[in-house]
Amino acid sequence: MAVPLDDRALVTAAKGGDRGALDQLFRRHYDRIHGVCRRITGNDADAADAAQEAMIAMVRGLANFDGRASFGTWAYRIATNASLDELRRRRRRPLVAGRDRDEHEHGAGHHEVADPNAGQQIDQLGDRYQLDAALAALPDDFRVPVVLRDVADLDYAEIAAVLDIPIGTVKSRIARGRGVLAHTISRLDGNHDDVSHRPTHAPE
Amino acid sequence: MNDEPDHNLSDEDVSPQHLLASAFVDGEATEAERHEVQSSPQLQALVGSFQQLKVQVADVPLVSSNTREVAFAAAFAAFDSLAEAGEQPAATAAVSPPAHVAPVIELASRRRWPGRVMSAAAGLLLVGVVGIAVLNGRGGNDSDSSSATVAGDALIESAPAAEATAGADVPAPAATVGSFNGSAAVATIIDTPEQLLTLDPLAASDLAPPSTASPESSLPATAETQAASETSLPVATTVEPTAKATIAEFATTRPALACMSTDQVFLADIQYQGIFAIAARDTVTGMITAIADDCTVLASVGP
Repeated sequence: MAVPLDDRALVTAAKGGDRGALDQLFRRHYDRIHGVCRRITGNDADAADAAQEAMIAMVRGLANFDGRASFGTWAYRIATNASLDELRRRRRRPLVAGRDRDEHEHGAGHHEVADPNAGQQIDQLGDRYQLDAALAALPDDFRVPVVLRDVADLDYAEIAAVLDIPIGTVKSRIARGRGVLAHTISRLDGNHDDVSHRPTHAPE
Repeated sequence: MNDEPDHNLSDEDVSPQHLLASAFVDGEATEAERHEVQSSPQLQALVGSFQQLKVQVADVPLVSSNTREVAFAAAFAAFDSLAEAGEQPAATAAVSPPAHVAPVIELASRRRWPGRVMSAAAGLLLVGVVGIAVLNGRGGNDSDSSSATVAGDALIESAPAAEATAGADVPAPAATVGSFNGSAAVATIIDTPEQLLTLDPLAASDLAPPSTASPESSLPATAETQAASETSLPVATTVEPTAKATIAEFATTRPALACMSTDQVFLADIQYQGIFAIAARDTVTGMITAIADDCTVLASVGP
Protein backbone atom coordinates (compact mmCIF):
# COMPACT_ATOMS: atom_id res chain seq x y z
CA MET A 1 0.00 0.00 0.00
CA ALA A 2 1.38 3.38 -0.97
CA VAL A 3 2.34 5.63 1.93
CA PRO A 4 0.86 9.11 1.53
CA LEU A 5 3.53 11.71 0.91
CA ASP A 6 3.90 14.50 3.41
CA ASP A 7 3.33 18.12 2.43
CA ARG A 8 7.02 18.85 1.98
CA ALA A 9 7.45 16.03 -0.53
CA LEU A 10 4.30 17.05 -2.35
CA VAL A 11 5.45 20.66 -2.54
CA THR A 12 8.79 19.57 -3.99
CA ALA A 13 7.06 17.40 -6.56
CA ALA A 14 4.57 20.13 -7.44
CA LYS A 15 7.41 22.61 -7.90
CA GLY A 16 8.86 20.15 -10.37
CA GLY A 17 5.64 20.24 -12.37
CA ASP A 18 3.89 17.23 -10.84
CA ARG A 19 0.22 18.02 -11.29
CA GLY A 20 -0.86 15.04 -9.22
CA ALA A 21 1.17 16.23 -6.26
CA LEU A 22 -0.46 19.63 -6.46
CA ASP A 23 -3.85 17.99 -6.66
CA GLN A 24 -3.11 16.00 -3.50
CA LEU A 25 -1.94 19.11 -1.68
CA PHE A 26 -5.05 21.02 -2.63
CA ARG A 27 -7.42 18.20 -1.71
CA ARG A 28 -5.69 17.81 1.62
CA HIS A 29 -5.98 21.49 2.55
CA TYR A 30 -8.88 22.96 0.58
CA ASP A 31 -11.69 22.39 3.06
CA ARG A 32 -9.86 24.11 5.88
CA ILE A 33 -8.72 26.89 3.61
CA HIS A 34 -12.30 27.41 2.55
CA GLY A 35 -13.35 27.25 6.19
CA VAL A 36 -10.93 30.02 7.09
CA CYS A 37 -12.22 32.09 4.17
CA ARG A 38 -15.83 31.37 5.15
CA ARG A 39 -15.38 32.51 8.73
CA ILE A 40 -13.40 35.61 7.80
CA THR A 41 -15.64 36.78 4.96
CA GLY A 42 -18.88 35.72 6.62
CA ASN A 43 -20.72 34.34 3.62
CA ASP A 44 -20.48 31.47 1.17
CA ALA A 45 -20.11 33.45 -2.05
CA ASP A 46 -17.21 35.59 -0.87
CA ALA A 47 -15.61 32.56 0.76
CA ALA A 48 -15.70 30.64 -2.52
CA ASP A 49 -14.15 33.60 -4.34
CA ALA A 50 -11.48 34.10 -1.71
CA ALA A 51 -10.62 30.41 -1.53
CA GLN A 52 -10.30 30.25 -5.31
CA GLU A 53 -8.10 33.34 -5.37
CA ALA A 54 -6.00 31.76 -2.64
CA MET A 55 -5.53 28.55 -4.63
CA ILE A 56 -4.45 30.49 -7.70
CA ALA A 57 -2.10 32.60 -5.61
CA MET A 58 -0.60 29.43 -4.16
CA VAL A 59 0.06 28.03 -7.61
CA ARG A 60 1.73 31.23 -8.68
CA GLY A 61 3.66 31.60 -5.47
CA LEU A 62 4.73 28.00 -5.10
CA ALA A 63 8.09 28.65 -6.72
CA ASN A 64 8.81 31.26 -4.06
CA PHE A 65 7.71 29.04 -1.16
CA ASP A 66 10.97 28.20 0.59
CA GLY A 67 9.62 25.65 3.06
CA ARG A 68 10.75 27.49 6.17
CA ALA A 69 7.15 27.50 7.37
CA SER A 70 4.85 24.55 6.88
CA PHE A 71 2.77 24.48 3.71
CA GLY A 72 -0.35 24.82 5.85
CA THR A 73 0.89 27.93 7.60
CA TRP A 74 1.86 29.47 4.28
CA ALA A 75 -1.47 28.48 2.73
CA TYR A 76 -3.47 29.94 5.61
CA ARG A 77 -1.59 33.19 5.34
CA ILE A 78 -2.48 33.43 1.66
CA ALA A 79 -6.08 32.45 2.41
CA THR A 80 -6.30 35.08 5.15
CA ASN A 81 -5.01 37.78 2.85
CA ALA A 82 -7.34 36.67 0.05
CA SER A 83 -10.27 36.83 2.46
CA LEU A 84 -9.35 40.27 3.74
CA ASP A 85 -8.93 41.46 0.15
CA GLU A 86 -12.37 40.08 -0.64
CA LEU A 87 -13.83 41.89 2.36
CA ARG A 88 -12.13 45.10 1.31
CA ARG A 89 -13.63 44.82 -2.15
CA ARG A 90 -17.04 44.05 -0.71
CA ARG A 91 -16.95 47.07 1.55
CA ARG A 92 -16.23 49.27 -1.42
CA ARG A 93 -19.07 47.81 -3.46
CA PRO A 94 -22.41 49.57 -3.14
CA LEU A 95 -24.86 47.44 -1.20
CA VAL A 96 -27.75 46.19 -3.26
CA ALA A 97 -30.77 44.91 -1.43
CA GLY A 98 -30.07 41.29 -0.84
CA ARG A 99 -29.15 38.39 1.26
CA ASP A 100 -26.05 39.76 2.96
CA ARG A 101 -27.75 42.92 4.09
CA ASP A 102 -30.71 41.05 5.46
CA GLU A 103 -28.51 38.61 7.27
CA HIS A 104 -26.45 41.25 8.94
CA GLU A 105 -29.20 43.67 9.77
CA HIS A 106 -31.99 41.38 10.79
CA GLY A 107 -30.36 38.10 11.77
CA ALA A 108 -32.20 34.82 11.61
CA GLY A 109 -35.61 36.18 12.49
CA HIS A 110 -35.99 37.90 9.17
CA HIS A 111 -35.85 34.73 7.08
CA GLU A 112 -38.97 33.13 5.85
CA VAL A 113 -39.86 29.77 7.31
CA ALA A 114 -40.76 27.28 4.62
CA ASP A 115 -41.39 24.26 6.80
CA PRO A 116 -43.04 24.88 10.16
CA ASN A 117 -42.01 21.41 11.35
CA ALA A 118 -38.34 21.97 10.81
CA GLY A 119 -37.84 23.50 14.23
CA GLN A 120 -34.46 22.01 14.91
CA GLN A 121 -33.11 23.06 11.55
CA ILE A 122 -34.39 26.56 12.10
CA ASP A 123 -32.66 26.69 15.47
CA GLN A 124 -29.41 25.58 13.87
CA LEU A 125 -29.85 28.10 11.10
CA GLY A 126 -30.53 30.77 13.69
CA ASP A 127 -27.37 29.83 15.58
CA ARG A 128 -25.40 30.02 12.35
CA TYR A 129 -26.70 33.45 11.48
CA GLN A 130 -26.06 34.68 14.99
CA LEU A 131 -22.50 33.45 14.82
CA ASP A 132 -22.01 35.02 11.39
CA ALA A 133 -23.42 38.31 12.67
CA ALA A 134 -21.27 38.22 15.79
CA LEU A 135 -18.14 37.42 13.78
CA ALA A 136 -18.95 40.16 11.28
CA ALA A 137 -19.21 42.68 14.10
CA LEU A 138 -15.76 41.72 15.36
CA PRO A 139 -12.87 43.76 13.93
CA ASP A 140 -10.60 41.83 11.55
CA ASP A 141 -7.66 42.05 13.95
CA PHE A 142 -9.61 40.02 16.49
CA ARG A 143 -11.66 37.80 14.20
CA VAL A 144 -8.76 36.45 12.17
CA PRO A 145 -6.76 35.01 15.11
CA VAL A 146 -9.89 33.33 16.48
CA VAL A 147 -10.61 31.80 13.07
CA LEU A 148 -7.05 30.62 12.58
CA ARG A 149 -7.14 28.99 16.01
CA ASP A 150 -10.57 27.38 15.84
CA VAL A 151 -10.91 26.56 12.15
CA ALA A 152 -7.33 26.08 10.97
CA ASP A 153 -6.29 24.61 14.34
CA LEU A 154 -3.05 26.57 14.36
CA ASP A 155 -1.31 27.05 17.69
CA TYR A 156 -0.48 30.51 18.99
CA ALA A 157 3.07 30.43 17.62
CA GLU A 158 1.85 29.49 14.14
CA ILE A 159 -0.80 32.21 14.21
CA ALA A 160 1.85 34.70 15.27
CA ALA A 161 3.93 33.64 12.26
CA VAL A 162 0.99 33.88 9.87
CA LEU A 163 -0.05 37.33 11.07
CA ASP A 164 3.44 38.56 11.87
CA ILE A 165 2.50 39.68 15.37
CA PRO A 166 3.87 38.65 18.79
CA ILE A 167 2.50 35.52 20.48
CA GLY A 168 1.28 37.59 23.42
CA THR A 169 -0.79 39.69 21.06
CA VAL A 170 -2.27 36.55 19.51
CA LYS A 171 -3.21 35.29 22.96
CA SER A 172 -4.85 38.54 24.02
CA ARG A 173 -6.68 39.06 20.72
CA ILE A 174 -8.14 35.57 20.80
CA ALA A 175 -9.24 36.01 24.40
CA ARG A 176 -10.70 39.45 23.74
CA GLY A 177 -12.33 38.29 20.53
CA ARG A 178 -13.95 35.33 22.23
CA GLY A 179 -15.20 37.50 25.06
CA VAL A 180 -16.90 39.88 22.65
CA LEU A 181 -18.24 37.05 20.48
CA ALA A 182 -19.77 35.26 23.46
CA HIS A 183 -21.30 38.50 24.68
CA THR A 184 -22.69 39.43 21.26
CA ILE A 185 -24.24 36.01 20.74
CA SER A 186 -25.71 36.08 24.20
CA ARG A 187 -27.19 39.51 23.49
CA LEU A 188 -28.67 38.27 20.21
CA ASP A 189 -30.16 35.39 22.20
CA GLY A 190 -31.75 37.86 24.57
CA ASN A 191 -29.67 36.64 27.51
CA HIS A 192 -28.24 39.67 29.25
CA ASP A 193 -26.58 37.74 32.05
CA ASP A 194 -23.92 35.85 30.16
CA VAL A 195 -20.82 34.79 32.01
CA SER A 196 -18.50 36.01 29.29
CA HIS A 197 -19.16 39.66 30.06
CA ARG A 198 -18.57 39.71 33.79
CA PRO A 199 -16.21 40.94 34.89
CA THR A 200 -14.30 42.55 32.07
CA HIS A 201 -11.45 43.66 34.27
CA ALA A 202 -9.76 42.11 37.26
CA PRO A 203 -10.43 43.80 40.60
CA GLU A 204 -7.54 45.99 41.62
CA MET B 1 -9.72 47.69 9.64
CA ASN B 2 -13.38 46.84 9.88
CA ASP B 3 -16.32 49.07 9.08
CA GLU B 4 -18.60 47.21 11.45
CA PRO B 5 -19.10 48.19 15.09
CA ASP B 6 -15.83 47.44 16.79
CA HIS B 7 -16.67 47.54 20.51
CA ASN B 8 -13.64 49.83 20.86
CA LEU B 9 -11.41 46.82 21.12
CA SER B 10 -7.75 47.08 21.84
CA ASP B 11 -5.00 44.64 22.68
CA GLU B 12 -4.67 46.05 26.18
CA ASP B 13 -8.17 45.90 27.63
CA VAL B 14 -8.55 42.14 27.80
CA SER B 15 -9.54 40.83 31.19
CA PRO B 16 -7.25 38.35 32.98
CA GLN B 17 -10.20 35.96 33.33
CA HIS B 18 -10.73 35.91 29.58
CA LEU B 19 -7.03 35.38 29.00
CA LEU B 20 -6.96 32.46 31.40
CA ALA B 21 -10.12 30.81 30.12
CA SER B 22 -9.14 31.27 26.49
CA ALA B 23 -5.65 29.86 26.98
CA PHE B 24 -7.18 26.95 28.91
CA VAL B 25 -9.58 26.16 26.08
CA ASP B 26 -6.72 26.22 23.58
CA GLY B 27 -4.48 24.01 25.71
CA GLU B 28 -1.98 26.85 25.98
CA ALA B 29 -2.33 27.44 29.73
CA THR B 30 0.50 26.70 32.13
CA GLU B 31 0.14 24.18 34.94
CA ALA B 32 -0.49 26.97 37.45
CA GLU B 33 -3.09 28.56 35.19
CA ARG B 34 -4.87 25.25 34.72
CA HIS B 35 -5.00 24.77 38.46
CA GLU B 36 -6.40 28.27 38.88
CA VAL B 37 -9.14 27.61 36.34
CA GLN B 38 -10.07 24.29 37.89
CA SER B 39 -10.43 25.83 41.32
CA SER B 40 -12.72 28.67 40.23
CA PRO B 41 -16.38 28.03 39.36
CA GLN B 42 -16.58 31.40 37.67
CA LEU B 43 -13.62 30.62 35.43
CA GLN B 44 -15.03 27.18 34.68
CA ALA B 45 -18.27 28.76 33.54
CA LEU B 46 -16.30 31.06 31.28
CA VAL B 47 -14.32 28.11 29.92
CA GLY B 48 -17.60 26.33 29.16
CA SER B 49 -18.84 29.39 27.28
CA PHE B 50 -15.62 29.66 25.27
CA GLN B 51 -15.55 25.94 24.52
CA GLN B 52 -19.07 26.10 23.15
CA LEU B 53 -18.07 29.08 21.05
CA LYS B 54 -14.98 27.30 19.77
CA VAL B 55 -17.09 24.37 18.58
CA GLN B 56 -19.50 26.74 16.84
CA VAL B 57 -16.73 28.63 15.05
CA ALA B 58 -15.06 25.41 13.95
CA ASP B 59 -18.34 24.04 12.63
CA VAL B 60 -18.05 25.62 9.19
CA PRO B 61 -20.80 24.87 6.68
CA LEU B 62 -19.61 22.21 4.26
CA VAL B 63 -18.41 23.45 0.93
CA SER B 64 -20.09 21.97 -2.11
CA SER B 65 -18.05 19.68 -4.31
CA ASN B 66 -18.87 21.94 -7.25
CA THR B 67 -17.33 24.95 -5.53
CA ARG B 68 -14.27 22.89 -4.68
CA GLU B 69 -13.81 21.57 -8.20
CA VAL B 70 -14.27 25.01 -9.74
CA ALA B 71 -11.51 26.32 -7.49
CA PHE B 72 -9.25 23.41 -8.43
CA ALA B 73 -9.93 23.96 -12.11
CA ALA B 74 -9.00 27.63 -11.82
CA ALA B 75 -5.84 26.78 -9.92
CA PHE B 76 -4.81 24.13 -12.44
CA ALA B 77 -5.48 26.52 -15.29
CA ALA B 78 -2.98 28.85 -13.65
CA PHE B 79 -0.62 25.92 -13.16
CA ASP B 80 -0.85 24.94 -16.82
CA SER B 81 -0.42 28.51 -17.93
CA LEU B 82 2.78 28.76 -15.90
CA ALA B 83 3.99 25.45 -17.27
CA GLU B 84 3.39 26.58 -20.82
CA ALA B 85 5.26 29.79 -20.21
CA GLY B 86 8.12 27.82 -18.71
CA GLU B 87 8.44 25.64 -21.82
CA GLN B 88 9.33 28.61 -23.99
CA PRO B 89 13.06 29.22 -24.37
CA ALA B 90 13.65 32.14 -22.07
CA ALA B 91 16.15 33.95 -24.28
CA THR B 92 13.84 33.75 -27.27
CA ALA B 93 10.94 35.00 -25.26
CA ALA B 94 12.97 37.88 -23.94
CA VAL B 95 14.35 38.95 -27.30
CA SER B 96 11.58 38.32 -29.77
CA PRO B 97 8.17 37.95 -28.21
CA PRO B 98 5.25 37.03 -30.41
CA ALA B 99 3.58 40.09 -31.82
CA HIS B 100 0.17 39.23 -30.42
CA VAL B 101 1.19 38.72 -26.81
CA ALA B 102 3.43 40.54 -24.38
CA PRO B 103 6.52 38.59 -23.38
CA VAL B 104 6.45 36.56 -20.18
CA ILE B 105 10.11 36.62 -19.31
CA GLU B 106 11.57 34.13 -16.92
CA LEU B 107 12.92 35.83 -13.86
CA ALA B 108 16.16 33.84 -13.99
CA SER B 109 16.93 34.91 -17.52
CA ARG B 110 16.13 38.49 -16.71
CA ARG B 111 18.77 38.38 -14.02
CA ARG B 112 21.64 37.34 -16.31
CA TRP B 113 24.21 39.61 -17.93
CA PRO B 114 21.90 42.43 -18.99
CA GLY B 115 21.02 42.82 -15.34
CA ARG B 116 24.65 43.22 -14.39
CA VAL B 117 25.30 45.82 -17.06
CA MET B 118 22.16 47.63 -16.05
CA SER B 119 23.20 47.35 -12.41
CA ALA B 120 26.42 49.18 -13.15
CA ALA B 121 24.54 51.87 -15.05
CA ALA B 122 21.95 52.09 -12.32
CA GLY B 123 24.67 52.37 -9.72
CA LEU B 124 26.10 55.41 -11.46
CA LEU B 125 22.64 56.85 -11.84
CA LEU B 126 21.94 56.16 -8.19
CA VAL B 127 24.93 58.19 -7.04
CA GLY B 128 23.76 61.12 -9.14
CA VAL B 129 20.12 60.91 -8.20
CA VAL B 130 20.74 60.41 -4.50
CA GLY B 131 23.27 63.20 -4.51
CA ILE B 132 20.86 65.61 -6.15
CA ALA B 133 18.01 64.49 -3.93
CA VAL B 134 20.13 64.93 -0.80
CA LEU B 135 21.42 68.33 -1.87
CA ASN B 136 17.96 69.54 -2.81
CA GLY B 137 16.34 67.92 0.21
CA ARG B 138 18.58 69.76 2.68
CA GLY B 139 16.90 73.01 1.78
CA GLY B 140 13.42 71.77 2.63
CA ASN B 141 11.70 70.52 5.76
CA ASP B 142 13.20 67.05 5.78
CA SER B 143 15.86 67.83 8.29
CA ASP B 144 15.41 64.60 10.20
CA SER B 145 16.26 61.95 7.68
CA SER B 146 16.37 59.14 10.26
CA SER B 147 12.61 58.92 10.47
CA ALA B 148 11.10 56.20 8.36
CA THR B 149 8.15 58.42 7.61
CA VAL B 150 10.36 61.21 6.46
CA ALA B 151 12.34 58.75 4.41
CA GLY B 152 9.11 57.63 2.84
CA ASP B 153 8.20 61.22 2.07
CA ALA B 154 11.60 61.82 0.58
CA LEU B 155 11.17 58.74 -1.50
CA ILE B 156 7.95 59.97 -2.95
CA GLU B 157 9.00 63.56 -3.26
CA SER B 158 12.21 62.65 -5.01
CA ALA B 159 10.45 60.67 -7.69
CA PRO B 160 9.46 63.54 -9.95
CA ALA B 161 12.88 65.11 -9.50
CA ALA B 162 14.55 61.88 -10.40
CA GLU B 163 12.36 61.57 -13.43
CA ALA B 164 13.31 65.02 -14.52
CA THR B 165 16.96 64.29 -13.95
CA ALA B 166 17.04 60.94 -15.59
CA GLY B 167 14.46 61.53 -18.24
CA ALA B 168 16.69 63.47 -20.58
CA ASP B 169 19.42 60.89 -20.98
CA VAL B 170 17.86 57.56 -20.28
CA PRO B 171 15.62 55.86 -22.80
CA ALA B 172 12.05 55.64 -21.67
CA PRO B 173 10.51 52.23 -20.98
CA ALA B 174 8.09 50.74 -23.46
CA ALA B 175 5.24 52.66 -21.95
CA THR B 176 5.59 55.87 -19.99
CA VAL B 177 5.17 55.60 -16.27
CA GLY B 178 3.54 58.46 -14.48
CA SER B 179 4.52 59.82 -11.12
CA PHE B 180 2.96 58.31 -8.04
CA ASN B 181 0.63 61.17 -7.32
CA GLY B 182 0.54 62.53 -10.77
CA SER B 183 -2.15 62.64 -13.35
CA ALA B 184 -3.55 59.39 -14.62
CA ALA B 185 -3.01 60.79 -18.08
CA VAL B 186 0.66 59.76 -17.81
CA ALA B 187 -0.08 56.25 -16.58
CA THR B 188 1.58 53.27 -18.20
CA ILE B 189 -0.55 51.79 -20.92
CA ILE B 190 -1.08 48.10 -20.22
CA ASP B 191 -3.26 45.92 -22.40
CA THR B 192 -2.44 42.36 -21.33
CA PRO B 193 -1.71 40.64 -18.01
CA GLU B 194 1.73 39.72 -19.29
CA GLN B 195 2.62 43.36 -19.78
CA LEU B 196 2.15 43.82 -16.05
CA LEU B 197 5.30 41.79 -15.59
CA THR B 198 7.30 44.54 -17.20
CA LEU B 199 6.60 46.48 -14.01
CA ASP B 200 8.09 43.70 -11.87
CA PRO B 201 10.06 45.39 -9.09
CA LEU B 202 12.45 42.45 -8.80
CA ALA B 203 14.00 43.60 -12.02
CA ALA B 204 14.38 47.04 -10.52
CA SER B 205 16.03 45.65 -7.40
CA ASP B 206 18.54 43.94 -9.65
CA LEU B 207 19.34 47.28 -11.16
CA ALA B 208 20.37 48.73 -7.86
CA PRO B 209 22.10 46.28 -5.54
CA PRO B 210 22.38 47.54 -1.96
CA SER B 211 26.17 47.51 -2.23
CA THR B 212 26.03 50.52 -4.52
CA ALA B 213 24.33 52.61 -1.90
CA SER B 214 26.14 55.49 -0.30
CA PRO B 215 26.38 55.02 3.47
CA GLU B 216 25.67 58.71 3.93
CA SER B 217 22.50 58.51 1.92
CA SER B 218 19.42 59.84 3.65
CA LEU B 219 17.30 57.29 1.87
CA PRO B 220 16.75 53.81 3.32
CA ALA B 221 17.68 50.68 1.38
CA THR B 222 14.28 50.48 -0.22
CA ALA B 223 14.57 54.04 -1.35
CA GLU B 224 18.04 53.41 -2.73
CA THR B 225 16.67 50.61 -4.80
CA GLN B 226 13.92 52.89 -5.86
CA ALA B 227 16.10 55.84 -6.70
CA ALA B 228 18.21 53.76 -9.01
CA SER B 229 15.25 52.63 -10.98
CA GLU B 230 13.39 55.87 -11.30
CA THR B 231 13.29 55.66 -15.04
CA SER B 232 11.05 52.64 -14.97
CA LEU B 233 9.60 52.54 -11.48
CA PRO B 234 9.09 55.93 -9.92
CA VAL B 235 7.56 54.68 -6.71
CA ALA B 236 8.70 52.46 -3.86
CA THR B 237 8.62 48.78 -4.63
CA THR B 238 9.22 47.53 -1.11
CA VAL B 239 7.79 50.30 1.01
CA GLU B 240 7.41 49.25 4.63
CA PRO B 241 4.30 49.97 6.73
CA THR B 242 5.37 53.44 7.85
CA ALA B 243 5.99 54.52 4.32
CA LYS B 244 2.76 52.83 3.34
CA ALA B 245 0.97 55.21 5.68
CA THR B 246 2.50 58.05 3.74
CA ILE B 247 1.43 56.45 0.52
CA ALA B 248 -2.07 56.15 1.91
CA GLU B 249 -2.27 59.91 1.96
CA PHE B 250 -2.37 59.77 -1.80
CA ALA B 251 -5.34 57.47 -1.81
CA THR B 252 -7.58 60.40 -2.50
CA THR B 253 -5.96 60.91 -5.86
CA ARG B 254 -5.66 57.21 -6.60
CA PRO B 255 -8.47 55.40 -4.71
CA ALA B 256 -7.22 51.98 -5.80
CA LEU B 257 -4.35 52.36 -3.34
CA ALA B 258 -6.82 51.73 -0.56
CA CYS B 259 -7.64 48.40 -2.16
CA MET B 260 -4.15 46.99 -1.75
CA SER B 261 -3.70 44.19 0.76
CA THR B 262 -1.11 44.42 3.49
CA ASP B 263 1.21 42.22 1.45
CA GLN B 264 0.97 44.32 -1.67
CA VAL B 265 3.26 47.15 -2.65
CA PHE B 266 2.49 49.82 -5.18
CA LEU B 267 4.31 49.65 -8.50
CA ALA B 268 2.87 52.19 -10.88
CA ASP B 269 -0.10 54.10 -12.14
CA ILE B 270 -1.39 52.30 -15.16
CA GLN B 271 -4.19 52.39 -17.64
CA TYR B 272 -5.30 48.79 -18.05
CA GLN B 273 -7.26 48.27 -21.25
CA GLY B 274 -8.37 51.87 -21.00
CA ILE B 275 -9.27 51.78 -17.29
CA PHE B 276 -7.27 53.88 -14.86
CA ALA B 277 -5.74 51.59 -12.28
CA ILE B 278 -2.66 50.82 -10.28
CA ALA B 279 -0.25 47.93 -10.54
CA ALA B 280 0.66 46.28 -7.24
CA ARG B 281 2.97 43.42 -6.39
CA ASP B 282 2.22 40.81 -3.71
CA THR B 283 5.40 40.38 -1.70
CA VAL B 284 4.37 36.88 -0.64
CA THR B 285 3.32 35.38 -3.93
CA GLY B 286 5.09 37.70 -6.34
CA MET B 287 1.87 38.23 -8.27
CA ILE B 288 1.40 41.52 -10.07
CA THR B 289 -2.17 42.79 -9.99
CA ALA B 290 -3.94 45.57 -11.83
CA ILE B 291 -6.47 47.15 -9.46
CA ALA B 292 -9.08 49.63 -10.59
CA ASP B 293 -10.24 52.53 -8.44
CA ASP B 294 -13.36 50.60 -7.46
CA CYS B 295 -11.14 47.75 -6.22
CA THR B 296 -11.94 45.53 -9.15
CA VAL B 297 -9.02 43.27 -9.95
CA LEU B 298 -8.60 43.78 -13.67
CA ALA B 299 -5.80 41.25 -14.09
CA SER B 300 -3.30 39.22 -12.12
CA VAL B 301 -0.15 37.59 -13.33
CA GLY B 302 2.65 35.76 -11.60
CA PRO B 303 6.34 35.80 -12.33
